[in-house]
Amino acid sequence: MKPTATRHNFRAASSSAIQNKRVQKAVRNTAGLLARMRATTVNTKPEFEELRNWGRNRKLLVSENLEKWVAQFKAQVEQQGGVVHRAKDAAEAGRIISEIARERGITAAVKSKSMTSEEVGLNDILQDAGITVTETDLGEFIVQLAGEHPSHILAPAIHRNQDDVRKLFTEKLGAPADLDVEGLVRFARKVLRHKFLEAGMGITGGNFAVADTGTVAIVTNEGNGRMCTTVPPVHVALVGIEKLIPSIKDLPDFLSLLTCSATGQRASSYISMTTGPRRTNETEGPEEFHVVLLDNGRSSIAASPWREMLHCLHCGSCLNHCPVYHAVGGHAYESSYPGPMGSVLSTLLWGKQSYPELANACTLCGRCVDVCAVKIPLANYHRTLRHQGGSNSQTSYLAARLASHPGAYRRGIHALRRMLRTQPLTKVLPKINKSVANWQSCRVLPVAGEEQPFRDWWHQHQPKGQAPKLKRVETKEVPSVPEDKKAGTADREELLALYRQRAGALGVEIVETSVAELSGLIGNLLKDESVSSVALPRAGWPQKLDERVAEILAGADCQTVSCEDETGWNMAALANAQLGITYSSAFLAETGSLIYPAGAGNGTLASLLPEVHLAISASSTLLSDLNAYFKNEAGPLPSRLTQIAGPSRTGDIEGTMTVGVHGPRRVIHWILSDLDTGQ
Amino acid sequence: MSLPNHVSLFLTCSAETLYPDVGRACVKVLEAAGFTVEFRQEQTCCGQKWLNTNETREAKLMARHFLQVFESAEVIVAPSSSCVDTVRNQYPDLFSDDPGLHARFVALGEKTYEFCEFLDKAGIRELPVHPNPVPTTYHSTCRTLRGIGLRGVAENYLQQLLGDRFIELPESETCCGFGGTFSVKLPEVSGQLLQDKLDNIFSTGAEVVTALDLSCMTHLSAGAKKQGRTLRFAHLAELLAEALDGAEQ
Repeated sequence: MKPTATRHNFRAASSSAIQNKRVQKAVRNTAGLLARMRATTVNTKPEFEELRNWGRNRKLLVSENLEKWVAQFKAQVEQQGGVVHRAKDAAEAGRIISEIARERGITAAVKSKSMTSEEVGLNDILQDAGITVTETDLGEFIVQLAGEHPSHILAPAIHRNQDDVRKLFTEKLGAPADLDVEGLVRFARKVLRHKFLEAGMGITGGNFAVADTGTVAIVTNEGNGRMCTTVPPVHVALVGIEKLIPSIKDLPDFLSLLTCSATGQRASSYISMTTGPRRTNETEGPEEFHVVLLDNGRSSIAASPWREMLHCLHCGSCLNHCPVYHAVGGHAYESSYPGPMGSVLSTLLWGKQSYPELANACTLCGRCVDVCAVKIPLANYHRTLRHQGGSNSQTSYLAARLASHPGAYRRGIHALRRMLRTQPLTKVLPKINKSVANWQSCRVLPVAGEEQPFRDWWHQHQPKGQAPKLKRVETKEVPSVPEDKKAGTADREELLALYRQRAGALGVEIVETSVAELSGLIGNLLKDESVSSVALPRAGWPQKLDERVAEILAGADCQTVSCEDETGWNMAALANAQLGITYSSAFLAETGSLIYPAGAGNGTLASLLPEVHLAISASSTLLSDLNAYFKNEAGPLPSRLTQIAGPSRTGDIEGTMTVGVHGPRRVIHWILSDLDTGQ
Repeated sequence: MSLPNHVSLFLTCSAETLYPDVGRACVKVLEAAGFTVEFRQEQTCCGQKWLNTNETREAKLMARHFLQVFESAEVIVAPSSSCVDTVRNQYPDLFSDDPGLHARFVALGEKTYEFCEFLDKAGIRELPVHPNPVPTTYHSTCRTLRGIGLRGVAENYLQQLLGDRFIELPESETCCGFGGTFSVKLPEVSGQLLQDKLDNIFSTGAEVVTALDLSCMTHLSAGAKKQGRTLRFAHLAELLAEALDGAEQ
C-alpha cells in the first residue's frame, strides 16, 4: 500500500483504533499466541542467541555492499535461464510485471503473500492493467475479499475473528452460514484450487535471494507458495534487494531464524527453493522464471545511519511483542509495514512528510530488540528518527543549560516541589500547557510531599559508624560449561528418535516398516480413505519400487495418475486424486521434514494437491538437517527444491490451527529399513 | 567481584523532586552494608528526556556535566534503572565521533549501577525480614529488564523481605506505557497501556507496588490516584530500609 498524499496522523488513527475492543481482543489473542509459540521453541534452543548474532553479521556483510551481491545473484539467475529485472521504484516494478503479463496475454494471476507487493501496491497496478489478481494466502484472501489491507505482516487477517470471516464468506462467496473454522478453510480451498489451475502467472515475494546460486526461497504453511511457484506457466518473484544472502550455505540457518522468530516453528510446512525455470525433461514447473529486484529507497537506507533496518527478515516478531501494536492493531499505522519494524521502515521509505509521527509510536521499552531475529536496534532507531538533525529549539536548549547548571538546577527543583504542592496551580496548568493536559487525561499531577528535601537532610546526616548489618559475600565468577555439540555427532538411532519426535509433533504419521509389508499397508490406507484415484510419479524410486506400488494399486482397482513425459501432469486428473504416493529422497531429523528435488519425471505436485500424502523413504536417507543435505548434494541445485514439514496448515482465522489448506490434511511417512538406495 | 567501599550517590531528578525518602533509604542501606556514601552537590539530572527525543545538542550538555561531576568517583549508584541505562548505554553513543571522550564515557558507564543491581554485585545475599509485610507486587520496568539486564534480583530480594506477601505481577515484563514524552504525545495509547498495567496490579490484590524505576512508579501512581485507588508505591530501597529499622528495634 502506497501512503496517500495526506500526512499520516498516528494520534488520531491510534486513538480511534483503541476504541475498537473487538479488534483489539483479536489482535492480542493471536499476537500473544505467536509470541508464546516463539518463546516455547527458543527456550529449547540454547544456540539461538548465537544464531541471532551470526544472522546480524551475515546481513551486515550484505548491506555493506548491496550492489556486489545483486550482481552475483543476477548472473546466477541468468545462467539458470531466469530473467532478472531491476526496478528503481514501486511504479517501475508494477510496470515490469504488467508488461510481462500483457506480452503473454495473461489476464489472471495468483499471488502468495508478499509484503513487498503491498509496498508497491501491485494489486491495484495489475488490476488497472486488466489483470485479475487473486490472493491465495488464506489471511490475504480474507483481507482481499473484505477490500482491506493486511494488518500484520505475517497474519494479515489478525484483526478479524471467525464470525467476521463467516459473514464475509457468506456474503461474498455464497458459503453456507454455519461453517466452523475448518469448514471455512475447506471452502476457501475449493474456491482457490480453481484459481491456481486457471492462472497464467504466479506471483510471489521472496524471503531470501541466494547470491551464489540464484535461488529464491519462500516459506509458507498453507502450500499456496508451492502452488504459485509450480502450477502457472510463468513465475514472477518480486524481491527487495535487501533480501539477498551470500550463500546457499547460509540459507538453512536463516530459515531457522525466520520461522523460529515468527511462529516458533523449526521449519514452516513448506520451503520452496526456486533456481531458474523448468529444465529440459522436467514434467512440472513454470516455463519462465522472472525476478523483479526492487530498490524503492533501499539503497539510500543502506547509506544511512539506519542501515540495519534492511536486515529485517519480516518475521513479525517485533509486532507480536510490541505493547503499542497490541493496543492499536496494524491498520492505525496506515502502511503495509505496521508495528516497530513498520514505524521505522515506513518513515525511512516514505519520509517524515508522509509519516511524521511514527517515530514517536514507541515507548522505547526495548522488547522488540530482544526478540528481533537479527538484532536490529529498533528502539534506538525510533529514538534517532525523532528530531533528526537536532531540534534547534531555543527553549529546549535553555532548559538543558539550566538543568546542567548546579545552582539553577537546585533552585528549579525547589520551585517545582513548591509548585507541585500548590493545588490551585495544578488546575490552571493544563489550561495553558498541552502536555500537562494530555498527562492529566488519565493521570493526576504528582504531588510533592512535605518531607524534608534530600539535600537539607544530607547536610545534617551523620553516618552511625555501626558494624555492617548487611553481610557481604565475596562472589566468584562461575566458569561457564561449554554446550555439547548436538546434531553433528548424534548417531543414527538418536537421529531417528529425533525425527520421530519432531515429525510426530507436526502430525506426520510415521510407520517404520519393510518392502514386504507395503501391499497390506497400502490396501488398508486405500480402504480407510475410500481412495479411487492415486497420483503416483514414477521417477527416482530405487529397486523399481514404483512398479511394485503400481501393481498393488492396479490390484486394488485404483486409477493412477502420473507424469512420465514432458507433457507433465493431467492437472484435472491430478486435482481429483485423493492420495499422492511419492518417494522422498531424503528426510531431516532436526526439522522433521521431507526433501523433494525437481528432476526429470519427478512429479512433486503429488505431495501437494491430493488430500492425503504418503511419502516412502529408505531409512538410510535420514540426515540431520538441511545443512547436511546441501553438503551431501554438492552438485548444482535442482530448479525447485522443496522441504515439507507436516501437513498443509494455517492459523489465519483466530490463530486456530487447521490442516489441509491447499495441500494435504494428512501426511504419512513410511520408512523402509530394507530398501537399498544403491548409494 | 570486589567493589570499592566508597559510593557516590546519584539521586536523580525524580527522587529529588518527588521521592527524597528514596534517597535517604539508599544512604541508610548502603551504610548498613558497610559502604561510605558521598553526595556530590554539583550533580543535576542525567538528561534522559533529551535523549528520548534525540535532542543531541541538549543531551551532550547533560552528559558532559555528569562526566564532570562523577568521573572521579569510585562507583556511582542511582535508585533508577533508566538513569543508569542512560549513563551506561546511551552516553557513549553520543560521542562516537570522539574516541577519547567516548572511552571516558564507557569507563563512566562501567562504574555506574542501579541500587539493587549494586547490592547484588556487592554480594549482599541475605536480607532481614520486613517487620510488617503487606501484600506487595513488583513491576519489572523495561529499563531494568532490557536496559541494564537485571532479571530475578529484585524478585529474590522481595521474597526474602516479604515471604509469601510478595505476589508476582501478571505480564510483569510489559511496558507501563510511560515512555517519557510518549505519555504526552500519544496520551490515548499510553492511557490504554497504563490501564492494562493497573488492571494487572489490581488483580494481585497488592497494597504496595514496588519497582526500580521512579519514573514508571510516578506514572503508575498518578494513574492509580486518578482512579481513586489508595496504593502505596515504594522503591525497593525503602522496603529494605524499613526492614533494617525493624531489625534495629
